[in-house]
Amino acid sequence: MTMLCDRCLHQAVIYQRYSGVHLCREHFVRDVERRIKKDTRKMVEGGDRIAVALSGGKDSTLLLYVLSEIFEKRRDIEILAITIDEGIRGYREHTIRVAKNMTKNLGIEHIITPFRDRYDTTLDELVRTSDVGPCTLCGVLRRGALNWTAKEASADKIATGHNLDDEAQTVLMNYLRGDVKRLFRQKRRDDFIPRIKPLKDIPEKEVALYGFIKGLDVDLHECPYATQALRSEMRELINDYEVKHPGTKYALVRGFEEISNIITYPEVQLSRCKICGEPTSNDVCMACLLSANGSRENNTHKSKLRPTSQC
Amino acid sequence: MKVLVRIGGGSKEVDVGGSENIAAVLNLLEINPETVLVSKNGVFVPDDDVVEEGEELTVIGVVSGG
Repeated sequence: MTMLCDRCLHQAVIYQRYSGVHLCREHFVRDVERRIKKDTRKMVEGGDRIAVALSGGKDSTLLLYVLSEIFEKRRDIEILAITIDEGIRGYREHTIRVAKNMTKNLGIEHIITPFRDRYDTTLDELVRTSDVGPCTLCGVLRRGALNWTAKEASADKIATGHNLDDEAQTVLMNYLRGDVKRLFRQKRRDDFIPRIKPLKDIPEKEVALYGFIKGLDVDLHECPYATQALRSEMRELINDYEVKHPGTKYALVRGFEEISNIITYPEVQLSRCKICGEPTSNDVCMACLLSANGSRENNTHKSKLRPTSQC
Repeated sequence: MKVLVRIGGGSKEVDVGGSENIAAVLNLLEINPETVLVSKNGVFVPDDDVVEEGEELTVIGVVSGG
């Protein structure tokens, strides 16, 4: 028996257990776009130049596509795309090709910043010589390169493709590690270009389905370094709970948002990195410490590193 | 009851017993429905869609990135 859309009785493509609704292609697409628009309007102001962090993966590809649709007629809002090329042989070349095609088709300015240009090395090279895990290295350096490139491009905001699953995993990981500082950094990023996450209410499965329905180049390859055990455990745990208790992912994220609206976490005093000038709570920022730029510096700060929540 | 399941570039005929819907078939294959999209005879379907003898399912993993 074919399941039917609760709104029009056409054939359903998805059952959203968390809302108890079956949706057809058309109503599913409308539903996703409505939720993204609703969130995005709260995050964006007239005059904004928004840099979309475009890896070429499914999340950022969808994000760029939807934002370009939403703001197509807004002359007071500019969209550009930034791709950070970490230098991951056999993986990043493909996603960069997807990113180039996407920006070309949409007529959107596209800036590619290789790690090599910013840090004089690549992730592949660093992984071979560093005792720090690849996801930690990549998280710190990519965040730094993205912030730096966005500033150079005079962007007012950086939009990232974090979806509901990413957000729920990050919240739970930080709770379980007792990492309150990192938990609250999710919300406030002092001295950095403000970040917005327009896909934070869209489950990963729905991001992929939207991409397929819209005929986007949905890249489902996984980064060869993405083996971070804790995040994989969180993903499995949360997905199991979501099946047994639909709405778990939303509950985790909403719960954290409510707490963070009530609690004021002490500001961290930031200074400027003496090597690159980027904001840091130390003399030298983690990006410089971990990259070739910082190889001459005292590496004692490395002991403060914890596995990143970026991957 | 047998259905053809395409997954990860391969395909196999699976005896799904009396499984009534896609979620039950995924459960049999130890796949969490949150992590995949399923198309039946080439069309995306919800995981409570009913499965019948001889149908063809394609399972696409959606966890990616890094």
